[in-house]
Amino acid sequence: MKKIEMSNTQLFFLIIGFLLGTTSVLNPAAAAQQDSWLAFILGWIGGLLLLLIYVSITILNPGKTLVDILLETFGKFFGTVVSIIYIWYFIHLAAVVLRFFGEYMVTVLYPETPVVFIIICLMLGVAYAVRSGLEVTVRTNELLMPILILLETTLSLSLIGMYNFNHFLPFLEQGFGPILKTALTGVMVPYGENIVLLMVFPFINKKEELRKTSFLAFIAAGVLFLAILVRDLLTLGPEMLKKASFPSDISAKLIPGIQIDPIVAATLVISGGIKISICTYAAVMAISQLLKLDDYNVFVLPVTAIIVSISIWSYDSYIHGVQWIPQEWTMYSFPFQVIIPVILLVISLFKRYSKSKEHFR
Amino acid sequence: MIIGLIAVFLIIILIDIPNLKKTKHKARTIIPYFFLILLGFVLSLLQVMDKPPMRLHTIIEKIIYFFVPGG
Repeated sequence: MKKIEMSNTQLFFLIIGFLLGTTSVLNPAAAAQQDSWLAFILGWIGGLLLLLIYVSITILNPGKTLVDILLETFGKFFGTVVSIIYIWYFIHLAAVVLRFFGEYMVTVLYPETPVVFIIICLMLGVAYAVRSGLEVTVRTNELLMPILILLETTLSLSLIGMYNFNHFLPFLEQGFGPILKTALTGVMVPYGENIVLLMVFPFINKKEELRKTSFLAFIAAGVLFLAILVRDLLTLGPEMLKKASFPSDISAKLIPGIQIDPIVAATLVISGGIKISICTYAAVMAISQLLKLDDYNVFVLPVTAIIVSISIWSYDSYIHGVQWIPQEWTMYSFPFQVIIPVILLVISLFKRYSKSKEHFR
Repeated sequence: MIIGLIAVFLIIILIDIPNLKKTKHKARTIIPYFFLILLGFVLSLLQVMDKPPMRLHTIIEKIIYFFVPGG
């Protein structure tokens, strides 16, 4: 297989872009209204624990992707079965994100255009990026992410005059229960989706800096998303934050005298494209690793076609999707994001402990 | 629409023919490749014909509530 290399900086921006790929159009914390910032922070802490698990798995299994680790841990038969299930999960995740972005573009930019057409156009770009190789996607992301971060920061600063700090009140009006429920969804979406990055982590150049880079990226992403959430809350208010389909877009429209929402839309679609590219890459890479093939390129277009079909098939409408995510999607993702990774971590730690015990005999 | 769909999948196969010819492991590449093509084609065809299978979210809900009664 072609040797892939990724610098620390590229991984740093990749993690931010990957996480932003969902949060930019769907932030589960918004359901907690005026306490959304608290739900977000709690979800972020949970996500940090998940990231610790994922990074630890990679460090304990150096140079191995998720598929290699699954085959080694569960054996050839069960490892293959679990790997196939993960391939399905990567494809499904790509399809769900693709659908959300398609709906976003249709709602905000192209209301007369069928969502299928938008989805196909987006996936053609993704297929090209994936066929070009991981390095192309990662380098493109490295170029675009700083611009996106700068844009979001500029947007937040431009709206300072419209912030109403009363939108933080009343604090804990519904009690802690709904906040915890929202926070749990926030852990799964988007932080638990970092499980996909286990197909990419082994390609970092300086493996000894994986933990530091990942955590720095996670902290930076958390600060960015919290700033976006607080901006939207203080500008739009808790009710609008909960009810609006795309609060960031509405916030962008409020800047007086200048129309930057199309630029915001373009940058958000870019981050979605990065996320879908990584999920697609993970799926085709996993397929080629399972089949012990050197080149994954041949599977890109068929998998792309499947992702397009599944994105339409997934659910009836954007509203239905948004309602489905906090409940069924959270439960559905739990084994992929928590149960199996915890098992992998425990077995990896046990193997490491057994090896070091034998070494000292 | 169906003819268009068939044309799209034929184009995908035509694009991938050089890679399929180049591969050292023909059986391990071609069989899964055409399995994925067939899967994508069938899913797309059912939607184009307006006869989609049960919604994916419904299937997932049934699986989830089978293992977690009451949700």
